[in-house]
Amino acid sequence: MESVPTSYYIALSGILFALGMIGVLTRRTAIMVFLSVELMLNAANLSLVAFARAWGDLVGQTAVFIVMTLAAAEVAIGLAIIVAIFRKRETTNVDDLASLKG
Amino acid sequence: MNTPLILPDVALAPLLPIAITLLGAIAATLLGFFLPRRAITLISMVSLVLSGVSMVTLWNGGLTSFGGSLQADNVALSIGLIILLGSLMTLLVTYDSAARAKLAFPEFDAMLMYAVTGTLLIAFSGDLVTMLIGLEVMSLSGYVIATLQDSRRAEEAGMKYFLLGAVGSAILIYGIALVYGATGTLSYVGIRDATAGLQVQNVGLLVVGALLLLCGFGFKVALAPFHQWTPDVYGGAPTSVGLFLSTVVKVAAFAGMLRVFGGAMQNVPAWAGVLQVLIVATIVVGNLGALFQTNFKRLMAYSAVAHTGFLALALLGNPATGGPALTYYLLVYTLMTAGTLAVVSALQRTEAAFTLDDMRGLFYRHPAYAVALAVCLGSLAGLPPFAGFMGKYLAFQAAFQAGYVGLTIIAAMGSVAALIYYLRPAMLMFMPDRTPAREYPGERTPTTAAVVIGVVGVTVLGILPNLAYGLVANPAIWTVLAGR
Repeated sequence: MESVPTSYYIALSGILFALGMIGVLTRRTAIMVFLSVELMLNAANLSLVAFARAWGDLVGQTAVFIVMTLAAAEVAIGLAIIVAIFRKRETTNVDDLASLKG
Repeated sequence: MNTPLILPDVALAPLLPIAITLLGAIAATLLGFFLPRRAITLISMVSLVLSGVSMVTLWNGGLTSFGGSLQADNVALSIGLIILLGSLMTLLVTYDSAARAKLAFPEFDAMLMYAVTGTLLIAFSGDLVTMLIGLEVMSLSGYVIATLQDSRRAEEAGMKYFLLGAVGSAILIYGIALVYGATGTLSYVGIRDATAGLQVQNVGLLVVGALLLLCGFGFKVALAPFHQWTPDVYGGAPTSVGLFLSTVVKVAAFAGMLRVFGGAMQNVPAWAGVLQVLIVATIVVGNLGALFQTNFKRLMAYSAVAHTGFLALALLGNPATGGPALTYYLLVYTLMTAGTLAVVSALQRTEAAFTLDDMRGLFYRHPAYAVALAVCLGSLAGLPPFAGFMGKYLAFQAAFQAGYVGLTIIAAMGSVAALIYYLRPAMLMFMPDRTPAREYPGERTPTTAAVVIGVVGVTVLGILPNLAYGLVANPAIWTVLAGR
């Protein structure tokens, strides 16, 4: 059975990472920026798994579990911060967060 | 045929300093229900001191654990002690200022201790995954303590810190994935051996991975152009949090850079060239930004950016000279920045406003604080009797000896320009001014203790630099940054 070459996975993960980066740079809602960051993390996970398969070694696969755990912790804290902001300001648009200037 | 089961080598001794701070953090979390906040702060301080004692007993041991994932060599221990010193000064400042800053709940101490645990994990790391876990534990706790004060300013600061920090982490993790793809290993030793002589099949992958790691670390240490969050976060968060973020967190991120770039990736091409460009940008942006600040906390934030550039110079040097220079400079930087911000914390009435105008005539109202602040600012500016001069000198020397002559000259010019914005507040303090005192009048002995540590530290280390530098000057401990 033919298997998919590693370079295909890496290309896909590169596209996902670029999409995430574009989202971070262009989206103005905190939730969407955050979602784009998660996309970048998943791109990293995909390439870790693909490389682990290419090297025939499990270290990359276990690293993915750790990255997933970190992403989950980041979600918990990030959403808490976003909710705290929304309660006071009724908006999560990052352009409205401009009171600290100088 | 059965293969024998190989038990992992789990030596607990190298883990001890980290375990003690983690226990302190758990104690602060749980005992917060039963004890008053000041008792929790005391318990946290005791666990920091115990962790420091355990580090001193491990000195020169060179122990490793978990198959080299965790290494308690002298590099880790010296940077760990700097981290503990910075954290202790933060806790001293919060002991009395937390009530005024609306931070007087035990959760603050707990999150701070978790952050310290993460920072120690970075300094002790022996592979990229351990480093990543430490970095994230530190960053996630840092986002919380930046946001914890119930105010619009702190929430805005926390949100900016979180979003940009999360982007930085994502870039860093992608860099780790690419480096793994190029070398097939995540441990520093493995990466160093795989890249020695560049027998890696896919050098492009390795270089892109290294540059992404550099960008990710750039976000954490505030190298330009990844520094944009710094003034808003350090200026908008409470002063004690700004103190912690600009000292302890920066020291830990530099420890990670030292391990990764000085140890694991010393043979990888291209990153040093890019780092040079980033350093020039950082020194220019930091010093120019600080020139036009009227808010003292924002001035200190830009000064932290400028110092990031000077600190990163030491990373470019040969590890045998750059390593001790970086460690000494990090210690001095921690002392003088924490001392300055401790004075601000002692004197400010509100978190929002401590402007340069407020400092006019400070010497006639609070002579001791004014002199302490002048000493710290003089040290930050790099004036000779104080330790900041030696720190900058060693960093410049490390970069100069590694052949970065032009860069060293630019850095020296930047450090001269920095004199202007450090000496302006120092001069204002000694100008006569008849307005009544605007400073906070109440009790603040622990904060004053932190100020004393900073002032005595920069003065003594400036006159006798070998007290600290002599401990880390042995080049043998810096040539095995990645491990054996």
